[in-house]
Amino acid sequence: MIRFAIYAGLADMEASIRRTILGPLWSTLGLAFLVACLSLFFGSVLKQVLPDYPEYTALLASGLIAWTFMASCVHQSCNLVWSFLNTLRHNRMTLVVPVVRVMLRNFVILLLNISLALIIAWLYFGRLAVTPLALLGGILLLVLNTFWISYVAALASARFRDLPQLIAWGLHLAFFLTPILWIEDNLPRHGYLIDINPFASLIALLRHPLLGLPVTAEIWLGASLIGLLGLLLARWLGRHAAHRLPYWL
Amino acid sequence: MAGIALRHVSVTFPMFFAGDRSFKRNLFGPLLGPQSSRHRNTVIALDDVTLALQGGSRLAVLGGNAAGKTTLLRVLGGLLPPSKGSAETHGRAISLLGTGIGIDANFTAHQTIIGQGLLLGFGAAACRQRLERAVDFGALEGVLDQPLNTLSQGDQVRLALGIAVAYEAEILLIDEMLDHLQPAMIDRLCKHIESGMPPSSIVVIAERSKAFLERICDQAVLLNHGKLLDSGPLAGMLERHQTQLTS
Repeated sequence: MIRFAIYAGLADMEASIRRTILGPLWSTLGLAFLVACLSLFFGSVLKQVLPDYPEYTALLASGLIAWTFMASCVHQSCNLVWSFLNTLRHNRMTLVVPVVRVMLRNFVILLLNISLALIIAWLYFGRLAVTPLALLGGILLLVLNTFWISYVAALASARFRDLPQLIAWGLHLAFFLTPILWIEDNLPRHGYLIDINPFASLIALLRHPLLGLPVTAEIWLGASLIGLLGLLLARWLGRHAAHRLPYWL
Repeated sequence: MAGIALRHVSVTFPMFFAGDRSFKRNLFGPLLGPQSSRHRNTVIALDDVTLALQGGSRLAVLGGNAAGKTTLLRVLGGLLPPSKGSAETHGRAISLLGTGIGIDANFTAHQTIIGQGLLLGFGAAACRQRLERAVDFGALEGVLDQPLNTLSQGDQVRLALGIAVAYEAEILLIDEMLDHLQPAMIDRLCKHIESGMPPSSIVVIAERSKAFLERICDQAVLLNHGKLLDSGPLAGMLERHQTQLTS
C-alpha cells in the first residue's frame, strides 16, 4: 500500500513538472514572492516594531515554509476523498494511502523551499546558522503531526461535506493567530495565546533550527505530546469509523 | 486455494441528504429540534445473504435492476464491509465493476498497470515483469502512454482485463462490463477463464449475456431486492426464473 502511495506521489510530481520549465519550483518562487511582499508590507508600511529587516524576513520565510506545508497537506486531504474517489471505490485501501500520497508531493516542495531558503540565506549573510540535527528532528515531528491532522481531516471530511470549508476557515484563523506574520515579542500581555496554540510549537519546530535558535524542551515536549495524542486519535478513528468510509462515498 | 464465505450478510446504505452530511447540523442537531433528522432513511442493498464459494466455483449472479448484484460483488471482493454479518475472502481478488478500474483518471495506462500491481502487493520489479502480459492480453500497445481519461470505455475495460490476467486473479469478479468489448475479446476472456486461470480460482459474474454466462458458469444465485431467493445449477435456474429475468 505504502509502495503504491510513493509511486503515485512521484507520478503526481512528474505530472506537475511535465511540460514546464520550472516545475515544482513555481510554488517555491511563489512563496519567495509572498515573503518579499509581506516583509516589505509589514516591515515598511505598518512600521511594526521589528528586529532588523533581514531578521524579520528570515522569521517570516521560515514560518511560511512550515505553514505552507502543513496547510497544503490538510487542505488537500480534506478534498482527497473526492479527488481519489475512483481509487477508493475500486480498491481495498485505507485512507492512509491517499493521505501519504498527498503528503509526499508536499514534502518534496517543503524540501525545495528549505533548500532555497538556505541558499538565499547563505548568499545574503555569507554563513548559515542552521542546526542540522534539530532541523531533522523538527521536520520529522512536523511531518508526523501533519500526518495525523491530515488523516483526521480527510476522514471527517468524507463524512461531513461542509467540513472542508470549516477547516479552511479554521486554517485561515490559525494563520493569523500563530506567530508567522508577527513576532512573538510583540505580544507581551497575552503570551498565553502562543502557549495554548499548538500550531506555534509546530512552526517553531522548523523555524528555530533553520535560524539557529535553540529549540527549547517545551517545544519538543509540546510537539511530541500533540503528535502522540493526535496519532492515538487517528488510530481510534481508524478502528472505529474508517470501516464506514465505503458507505460515505 | 481461494475461498469466500458470507454469513448472514446485510448491507444497509444510509441515504444522506444535505442536512445529514453537515457537521454543523450534526453538532447543533439537538438545538435545532426534530427537523434536523427528518430525512434519515436507509436502503437495504443486501438482506441476510449467506453464501459459500470454494475454489473452482464459477458463479453467475442473476437478478433485475436494483437486485443487489453489484453490492454482492463488492462485498465478495472485500471492497465493502457488511453492515451486519461477516464476510471472509481468501485469495487475490480483482474486481472489474463497470468500467471503473480505479486508480486515477490522470494516470496513463502504463502507470495504472504498475499502480494496480503495487496495490495488490506485488513489488515494483514484479509489476514491470507483468506489464508485457497485461499489454498483450488487453491489446494495449497503442494506448499505453495515454491518460485514463482519454481512453474509450472499450480500452478501459481491456486495460482492466489485462490487469486481472497479468496479476493472476484468484478471485475474479465481473460486473456489467462486456457491453464495451468486441466479440473476439470476449472469446479471449472466456478462453482465459476456461484454461488460463488455475482450477482453484473463483469467478463470479453478473452479466446480462446468457450465452456468456452459460459458457463460463455452472452455478447461479438469484437476487431480488437484496434477498437471495434461489441458488443452484445455472441451467435449472435460468429455466425456473426465465420470466423474472426477462421482465
